[in-house]
Amino acid sequence: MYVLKELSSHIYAYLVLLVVLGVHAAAFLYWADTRFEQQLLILLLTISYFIWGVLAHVKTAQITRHVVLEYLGIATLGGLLLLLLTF
Amino acid sequence: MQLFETIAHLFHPRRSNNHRARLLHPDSIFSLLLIVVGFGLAIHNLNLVSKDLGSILGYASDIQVGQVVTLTNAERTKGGLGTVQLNETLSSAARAKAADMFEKQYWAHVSTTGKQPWDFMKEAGYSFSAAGENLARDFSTTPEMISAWMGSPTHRANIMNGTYTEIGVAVVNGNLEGIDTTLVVQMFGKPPGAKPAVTAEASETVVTQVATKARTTETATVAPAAVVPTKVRPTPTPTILVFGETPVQVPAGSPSVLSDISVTVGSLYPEQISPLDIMKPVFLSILLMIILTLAYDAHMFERKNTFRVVGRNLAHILYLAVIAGIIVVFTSGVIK
Repeated sequence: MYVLKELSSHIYAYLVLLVVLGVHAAAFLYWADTRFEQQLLILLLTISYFIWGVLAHVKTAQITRHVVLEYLGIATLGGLLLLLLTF
Repeated sequence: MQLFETIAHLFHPRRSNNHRARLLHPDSIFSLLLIVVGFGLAIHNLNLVSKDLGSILGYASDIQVGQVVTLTNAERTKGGLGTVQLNETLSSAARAKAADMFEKQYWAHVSTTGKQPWDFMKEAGYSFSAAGENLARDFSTTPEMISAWMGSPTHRANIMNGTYTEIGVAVVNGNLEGIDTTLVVQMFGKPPGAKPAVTAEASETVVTQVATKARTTETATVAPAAVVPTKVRPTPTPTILVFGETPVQVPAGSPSVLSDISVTVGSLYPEQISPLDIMKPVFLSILLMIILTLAYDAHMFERKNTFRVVGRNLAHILYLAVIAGIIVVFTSGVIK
């Protein structure tokens, strides 16, 4: 099973990711009525995910330019979708 | 056949896409980014264009003065407080405040010239011994807005203040700092000598009277400012502001002159669709497509049991799922 195999191979990395995502989601909902804070959180979430991705791959020595660009693209896409809603 | 090949190339890991769905390659993701940016700009520009074309698209708000009063009183009644009565003079002060915000382009309790909420009340000819103000913008429904106010301790304190006996409400559409929006100004007051509405006296009759009065207010044209009737347009992103958490004691007996505010605000639109209602499903569809592609790619990769160095699909799925969850619960509306 892909999910279990992946989780057990990188359990700590995924725990960190889940905490980061959970905290951001909770903070976003907490500041539901204040756009500025939400936009800052989106920026922080985007950067956090990108850094997490790069570090997770550096740790396993599987880092390439392609991987960095992939994390940059996915992180930016997610952040951009949220950001567009707040304007 | 060509279409099938293209689809397979985009979504199915195989030799032609280096065993990774083409959609997940960085260049495809960046192309998608450009499309999303273009789409976002198009939605906003379409809204601007619609002003001249007569409304193709815009912001939709269903906030009504009567509802604001009724729901405010419902909250007060729940808290064991007496209801507040809609006061037309206080409402005209609220409309003047909203018009002033559009005219001077600010979003605050104190105007750019230092004018306080009480000044609008006095100019409207409303005498009071205590007063407060709540502001909201970009909400699409009244319950949503009241709930945001109730969720904020300072706004809640105004709504649940037993000192107040009267309320004035203005719901006005216009363009604030380049954004088409609906401003809601809620003013509370206690005329000099009036008994505080501390005891619960929420009789059906009072509520009905308030609602009836409110409906009259909605249709009344007061100033050139756009007084929002029922379903007009407005609103992209919401906010709230409070003023007068501690009721301000002001000497009674101000001159009884109605303000004559003349403001050019954005024109009124008939019923329109909120950009949020368009963007949400489109963005969710994009996310769903990528999440499904990632899941399928991971599944195929596992079946083939090959080696490749790419980003972690599970991590991407978790990240995008959180983004999708936030989009689902995202509501427009801001308070002050």
